[in-house]
Amino acid sequence: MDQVRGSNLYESYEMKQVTGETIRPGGFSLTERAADICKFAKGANVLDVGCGVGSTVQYLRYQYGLSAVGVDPSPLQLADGLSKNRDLPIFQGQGEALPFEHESMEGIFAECTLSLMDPSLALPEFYRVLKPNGYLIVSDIYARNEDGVSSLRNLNVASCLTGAVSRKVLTDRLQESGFEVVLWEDHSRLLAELTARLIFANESAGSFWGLVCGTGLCTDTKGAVNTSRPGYFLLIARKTNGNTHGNTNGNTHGNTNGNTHGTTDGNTHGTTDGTTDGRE
Amino acid sequence: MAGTDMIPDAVFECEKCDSQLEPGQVTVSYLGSSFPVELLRCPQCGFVLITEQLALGKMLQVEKTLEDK
Repeated sequence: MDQVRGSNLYESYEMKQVTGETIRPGGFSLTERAADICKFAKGANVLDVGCGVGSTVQYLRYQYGLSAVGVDPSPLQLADGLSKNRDLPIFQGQGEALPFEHESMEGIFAECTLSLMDPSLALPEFYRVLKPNGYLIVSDIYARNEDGVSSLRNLNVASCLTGAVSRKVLTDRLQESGFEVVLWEDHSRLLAELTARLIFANESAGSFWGLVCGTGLCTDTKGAVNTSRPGYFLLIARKTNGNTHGNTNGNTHGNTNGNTHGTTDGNTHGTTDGTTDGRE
Repeated sequence: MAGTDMIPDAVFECEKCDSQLEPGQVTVSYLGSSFPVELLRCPQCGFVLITEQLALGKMLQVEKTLEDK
């Protein structure tokens, strides 16, 4: 994940003051919706990538009885979460190099975090770690106006906003990585409500960004937001069994991480494909 | 929530109850969304003071944000 920019919005006190510990629009509402749709069996292994203090991990464990674990690159977030619940299974790690065996998870959640990762590395990692037919659940900001994406990239703050892409770009990336998108829902209202709460909590939306950026008023942020028209979505994708996807991406992206985690080629994915697995 | 939506050092009274308005958490609703905001309110009847600055500032921004969602 990108930790190089001026500041990390997800670590900011100002953001947590408004969002609580979930640090995303809608809190647990989309987590709950996705979990209800995916209908994971009790005890199913699921992973929250970018788990922060582990709120979703805790929620999935206690509300749904899942064997949920989480990874986050931020030692600050993890320490904060473990200080409240030292038994929480949350570990340091990042989406681009997951510290898990291949085909070990029935679900992966990336809630307002995929846009903070390098998708060319993270998506093949998700594919590698998911079991066949496993679910990838993504909620995130997207650019409703594709023309504004470049201005978002240059913002001096690490947030979902800076990595936002259009719906088409994201769904194309997922398909190229071997996923089938089974659900897309627009929840831009949740983003608008969060923005409104931030406005009420600060002098203005502009002053909030200034506070977070630590560089003044961040007028470029406001301009980039106006141009890109950020929205919010819930997406559920399923790991397909096709050799084509798995092997194609295995060669392109997967091998980069594959040596570390033992999924060195597409064969690993290919052996569990639809020819023997009739669950679809 | 920040208490900056109240005029510092100003004293307001509820004309109906003859009570001094006090800072308190109120829920502001607009277009189906609700937000907790700290505003001056009458401790007896619940009357809330929305200053011109708030109405033309943050509230206007919030309305635009929600209408443009």
